[in-house]
Amino acid sequence: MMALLVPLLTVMGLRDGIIGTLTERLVNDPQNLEIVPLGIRDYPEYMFTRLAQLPDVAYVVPDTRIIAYTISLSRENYPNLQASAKSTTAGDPILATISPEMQIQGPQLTEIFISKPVAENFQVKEGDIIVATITRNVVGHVESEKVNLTVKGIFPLHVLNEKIILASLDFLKMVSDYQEDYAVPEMGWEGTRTRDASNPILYQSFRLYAKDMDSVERLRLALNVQGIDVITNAKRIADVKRLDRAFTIVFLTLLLVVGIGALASAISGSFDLVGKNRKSLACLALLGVPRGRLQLFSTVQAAISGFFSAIGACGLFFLVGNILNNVFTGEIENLPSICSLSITKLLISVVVVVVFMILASLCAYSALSDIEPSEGMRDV
Amino acid sequence: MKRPILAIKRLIKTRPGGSGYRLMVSNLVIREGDRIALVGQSGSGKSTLLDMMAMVLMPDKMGKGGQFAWTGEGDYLDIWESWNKGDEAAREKIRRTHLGYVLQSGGLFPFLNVRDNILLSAWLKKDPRGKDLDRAVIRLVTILGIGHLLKKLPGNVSVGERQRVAVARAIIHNPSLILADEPTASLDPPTAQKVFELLLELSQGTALVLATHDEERAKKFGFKIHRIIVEDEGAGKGIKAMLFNDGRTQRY
Repeated sequence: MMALLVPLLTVMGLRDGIIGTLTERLVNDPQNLEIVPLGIRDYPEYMFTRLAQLPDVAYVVPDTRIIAYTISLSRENYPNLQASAKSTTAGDPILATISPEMQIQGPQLTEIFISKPVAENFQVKEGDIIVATITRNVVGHVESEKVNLTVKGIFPLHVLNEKIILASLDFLKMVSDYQEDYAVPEMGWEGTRTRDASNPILYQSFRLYAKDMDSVERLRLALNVQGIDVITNAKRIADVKRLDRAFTIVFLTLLLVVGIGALASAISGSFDLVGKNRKSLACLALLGVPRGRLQLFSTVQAAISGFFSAIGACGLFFLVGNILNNVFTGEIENLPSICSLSITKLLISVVVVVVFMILASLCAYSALSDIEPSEGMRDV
Repeated sequence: MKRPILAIKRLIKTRPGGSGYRLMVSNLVIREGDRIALVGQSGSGKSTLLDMMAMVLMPDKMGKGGQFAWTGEGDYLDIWESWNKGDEAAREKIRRTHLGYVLQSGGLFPFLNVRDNILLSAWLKKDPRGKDLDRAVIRLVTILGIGHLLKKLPGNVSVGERQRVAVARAIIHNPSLILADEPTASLDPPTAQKVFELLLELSQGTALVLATHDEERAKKFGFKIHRIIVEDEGAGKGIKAMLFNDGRTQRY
């Protein structure tokens, strides 16, 4: 029984280890759930209100006009830098890659989150100030405003590896308005135009996060219907899902084959057990032990045997799993363990084996009912 | 007169296979404290009769006015009727409560140590003696000279020692009747003698039925001899095996 259980547990462990970790990573990595539109177009504000209400959407934030995308940054004694600017608000999943608190808080008006290359350029840390210079061209002459932006957080390199800042949506809307010659009284910036209800702001792009992997494809289709082509990680998700399906099929096939083998082995073992203990069982019957008790004796013996086989198999699985994990440490990118099973699954395996053994012992009842107490009179 | 505990009257048991063999017991009543030796040639039916006394084998027929019953105090059972009704539980109860067995090779359980093998009969009877039961075991094993073996498994003791354990197991629960099938056949003569003596000493007051080839020893120890005489009736009529008491002096 153990010879069948150990490979089965190892296959289960590999499936949970490799596929489980990859799937979990895909789910937990917000970039994999990110959906961005191809190209630019004008999106009215209400569209984002509607998008946010879709059940497949976890978060959506609009991006302002493209000219607000690039901001000139400076800090005394450090070279100036042109960085892309993206908008963000509280609840943005990408902020969780810095810390969960950052995701909850989001940025204040003049707070920014910066990528590692930006931080390295200015040698800044959280709380330091970077100066943003915003320029506009008004009828042939260039005007500019400077704003002190406080670094609230720095993204890990694997999340953002380009020169990017994430600023508050309200701030970037103001930048956009300034660049279009609107007055921005909150910042003391002058302009010849005034933003009001008759000329609402139009956004040119957005960042959207799906609720889960399955939502990504549904959202892609929904947006396509509205004429919005989007970029998703659908291919990567599909690859992992395909791998997951393939492993599941292999695993289920193995489970079926091994399960049938294990049941056959358990049934045959139960008959062997009755055969081996035939004289003892007959002698017990001779001494007056009721037949029902003999059957119970046989079942309990099978259950105990199954329990210890399963425990032994779990022990060997830990050994094999540890060897595999040690051998492949570092071989597969950032994979903490390639072969692992939760305690719950191991406990379920033990219970299933015990149930198998009990069922098998029930099959051997016919052999048990053949035993006559008179056989006990002769010999043991 | 001593109380009868097992009554067998007008019983017929045939053997399967068309040999025509039939064992006939006209009248055999076992009373409290009886010492009865069943003797007869090999294949005559000694063990068959012993199996029937143990209620693990049933006769095929009962003659008119026949009886096959356990009549011991408190637990009357019409064995023949219980067999026909399929009431195995009643026979199991009698076996647990009132019978003890000493089998040819001990009949010990290889997975229980000597102490537990001995106590098994008492446990099955649900013997209420508690600590007194432990004292009874100590007394028995001391007399039998196997006190040092209590924790050993039967596989680790000699054949003679196993038979002493079997004697202890047959006696520990104070049965009314002990059935012994060639209990010393596998022992060397001195050991056989000793085991036989111990069995008799420890089973004082208990009925003891012995199936044996060793008629001389049985006689020497005061057993009433019951002999199974086998007669070939010839002309295809088959073989008739009949039980007679001591030396065919009285036909039942």
